Amino acid sequence: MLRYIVKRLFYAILTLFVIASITFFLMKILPHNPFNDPKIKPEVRAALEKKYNLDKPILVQYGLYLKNLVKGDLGISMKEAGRSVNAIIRENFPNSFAIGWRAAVFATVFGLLLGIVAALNHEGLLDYLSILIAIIGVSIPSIVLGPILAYFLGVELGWFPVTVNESEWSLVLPSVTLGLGSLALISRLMRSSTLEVMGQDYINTAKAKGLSKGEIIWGHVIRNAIMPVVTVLGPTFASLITGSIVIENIFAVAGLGKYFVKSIYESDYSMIMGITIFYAALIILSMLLVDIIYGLIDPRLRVKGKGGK
Amino acid sequence: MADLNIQNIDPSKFTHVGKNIKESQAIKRESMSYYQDALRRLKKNIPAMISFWILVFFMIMAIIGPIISYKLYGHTYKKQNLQEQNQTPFMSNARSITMIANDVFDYDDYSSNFRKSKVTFRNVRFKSAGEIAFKIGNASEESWQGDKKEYELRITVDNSDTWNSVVKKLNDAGEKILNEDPDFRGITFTKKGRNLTIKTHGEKWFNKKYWLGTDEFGRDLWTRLWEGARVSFFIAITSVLFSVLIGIVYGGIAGYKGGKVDTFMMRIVEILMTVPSLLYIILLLTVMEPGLKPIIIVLSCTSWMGTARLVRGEVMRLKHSEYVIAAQALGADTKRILFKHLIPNTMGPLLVNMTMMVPSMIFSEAFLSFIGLGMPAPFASWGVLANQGANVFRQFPHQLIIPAVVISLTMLSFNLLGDGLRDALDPRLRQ
Repeated sequence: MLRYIVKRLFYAILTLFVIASITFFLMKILPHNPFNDPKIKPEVRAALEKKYNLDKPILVQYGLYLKNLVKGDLGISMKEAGRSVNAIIRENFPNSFAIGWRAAVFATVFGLLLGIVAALNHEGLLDYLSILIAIIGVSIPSIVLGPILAYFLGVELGWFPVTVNESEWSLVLPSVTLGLGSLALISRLMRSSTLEVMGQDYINTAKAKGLSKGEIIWGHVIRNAIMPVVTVLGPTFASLITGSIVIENIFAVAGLGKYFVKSIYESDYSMIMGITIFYAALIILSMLLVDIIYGLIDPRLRVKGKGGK
Repeated sequence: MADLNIQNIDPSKFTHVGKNIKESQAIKRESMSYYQDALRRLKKNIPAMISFWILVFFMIMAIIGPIISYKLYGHTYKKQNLQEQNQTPFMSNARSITMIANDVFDYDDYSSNFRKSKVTFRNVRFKSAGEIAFKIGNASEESWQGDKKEYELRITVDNSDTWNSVVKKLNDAGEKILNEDPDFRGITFTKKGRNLTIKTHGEKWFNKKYWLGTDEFGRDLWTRLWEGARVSFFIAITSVLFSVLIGIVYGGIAGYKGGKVDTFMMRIVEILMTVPSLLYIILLLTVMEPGLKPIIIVLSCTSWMGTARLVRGEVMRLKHSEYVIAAQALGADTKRILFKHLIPNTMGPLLVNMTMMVPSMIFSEAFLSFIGLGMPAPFASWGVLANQGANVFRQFPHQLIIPAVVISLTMLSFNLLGDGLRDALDPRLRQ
């Protein structure tokens, strides 16, 4: 088990290193220099370049950059004078996270429930309902779903606020829009996985032993069916993180995603790079967590770990 | 029962017909290849076939749609007509406006910019007693919804009036104008709660010049929708082809070589797969100038890993089969075995993979347009249209709903067709 975790950890760090390197060298081949403005005097520019180590050879810069990164320093925004990327992330990320975790919980809980109920009700009304939701979730992109939900549920019916404010209630629409795609994916997987498990011999054995329906479903069906679903949770959470970029713009959330788009429009390169690395680290961390959880609940991996190959 | 004695049966009824070799060896049913069989099964799958015809329809429209509107009206995807902005597919010259009807009612010059409310009010006064005057229609207005003539509606109210009697007086005054001048379209006032709604009457007609309306610059949405289909389909299909090409070569080599080469190559894929591709795409596109070519390059360079894994798996499974050994024994080199024997046999799963990739490419393109890294300004793509529509959705819902329906139908159709293809190509489901 420990071996497995260490291996996963090693891969996570390696991936992060690759992303950081790609980001750095992409930034270097950019034709734009942050201090290329003709309005800046040459001596000022020299001083600025010295301050940000831009006068040193590229490999030294790379080393310094990696050193800063290990310390958790993502650099300084080019457009917002004097503000560090770290400060901007610290300020804006909590708003994104507030929606992100709600969407993740919404997608996982309802996705699993819908999948199980659909499979138990195979070819019944609920089954078709779950297929319908899965189809909608897969084929309506969030840039379309967001405005439509905001219009019908927010403006026409007036059930929810259209923009995010202090109240808990205003987070419902963005979280649902963000989570629906993942919910569709999870419910679809859970449904097929549950159906497959229910056809297995050991379920018949459990029935033959005289276990109650609840015991069979809870102790045998769900425990086995949930395994393949856990493996896709990592990429699902990743898609939630990138999806939040769109959602925050639709619902006017003052979150990191909105800042990200703004920095793209303003070509604030150091911000783009900094936030990208932050997002990547977040995604890799969530995948790592899912991997470790998977290792903990999968008995095969547990045994393999103990055996010490 | 004695009649049925076996000896009483006429022996001449039993003659030897002899062997008919020709007939027994004749081919009764045409032989079917794997793909013919798959096609036969696909044709039985109704959702997949409907999806297929929807996609064919969209592709035909992508080719001829812009040509039709150009031939008929000279519309192009970038021709602006600032006099005819934000038209709807069904036009109407009826307008309505809702205003808060407090007991104090005071407007000097009021004209709203919303679609449904191009009624202009001047000198509206209602302060317990006095005169209320509305000016309806505006002769100088150039908009397509404008009236030819300006009308004035004037009533006097006194202290004994309640809101109900004021509304009645207003309606009566409107009817009076209608009786005097048949050109006047008529007006109705209703009060509901605290809101006073004013509605001018009018008829509805189909927008003959702009079938799907126009956008904020007066560009024809019909032309832009199908021009956008061209761009989106082109981006999606070319990027899928390129990405599959990279995946085939990479996965094929990894799978065929095996051993250390395979381990190394697959480790790289594993690492690249952990990285969220949208972040990569954003990074690469900020470096490149936006346009068709960079989008295709970036999309195909960030999505080949799945295909590579698939091809590797298939090649590993197939490389020990008899026909490969036979080819090796005949002296075929690696390249020949890989591209003439192994890859063609992975075509089935690859086809499914490609169909499933198209919608995700369309989605990526829409996502990029949304964050400002998609096709640059005058060009149309579905992502651009959806983004523009989302911005003005409250006032002009049709500008979002039309591209939204088309995008969603396309993504749905590709998904259903992919599912159908997978079932059809799966030999286990053969009947």
